[in-house]
Amino acid sequence: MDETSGNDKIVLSLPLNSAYISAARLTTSSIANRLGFSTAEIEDVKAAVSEGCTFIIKEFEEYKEELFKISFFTGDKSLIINIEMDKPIKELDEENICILMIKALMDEANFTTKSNKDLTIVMKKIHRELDLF
Amino acid sequence: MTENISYKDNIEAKKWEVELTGEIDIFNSEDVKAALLEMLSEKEQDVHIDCSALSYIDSTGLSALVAILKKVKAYSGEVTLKNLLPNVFKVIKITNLDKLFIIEGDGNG
Repeated sequence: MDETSGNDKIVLSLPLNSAYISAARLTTSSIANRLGFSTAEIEDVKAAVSEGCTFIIKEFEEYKEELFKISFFTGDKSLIINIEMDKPIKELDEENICILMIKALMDEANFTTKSNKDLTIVMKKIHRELDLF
Repeated sequence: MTENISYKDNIEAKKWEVELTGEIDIFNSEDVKAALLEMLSEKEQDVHIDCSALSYIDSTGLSALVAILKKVKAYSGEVTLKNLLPNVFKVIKITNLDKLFIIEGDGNG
């Protein structure tokens, strides 16, 4: 049986449709669980990814036919997640509740853009807790 | 009504007893809000929400609860959230909503 290599990339493409956010949460839980994250850490990552998707779906409402991409980069003790939309954002409100929740739940959270033509939410969770369950 | 919410009128205690279940997110939070607003339009009284079967709530679900809280506060009522699972308690705490709602239990389920 193959173990996770510690440096894998998993990509999920979803339509801008709220019906599929639960699929993003399920995938996130599965990957974080595979990396040995504790129950509490898994819940944090799952909620942060869900808020990231909610933010993208709300901000890019007019692009209903488009897809957005969630990329998971696994590390030995960490998980980096990029949520990308290949369209320009009008204005990034860093006080948005989704953004504030991501920042509170993750160890790192940033936003990047290539010449204002796209938006990527980059978040990182470091595995620290021992799972006692 | 969405399957994530049920409620009944506890006539003796003069309060609405609400049960939220499953996952509440952007997909169904508007339905949950509409159901709660409809409930309040029937009778204005305190609201007790049992969250023991609520496995997940996102920012849009929390916004729906805040909208209900505003309505209830307008007639000087109270909204109590009880039996919160740890992950649900955590999102309520990081958004400081634990200062607005009455929380029963310690967030350990």
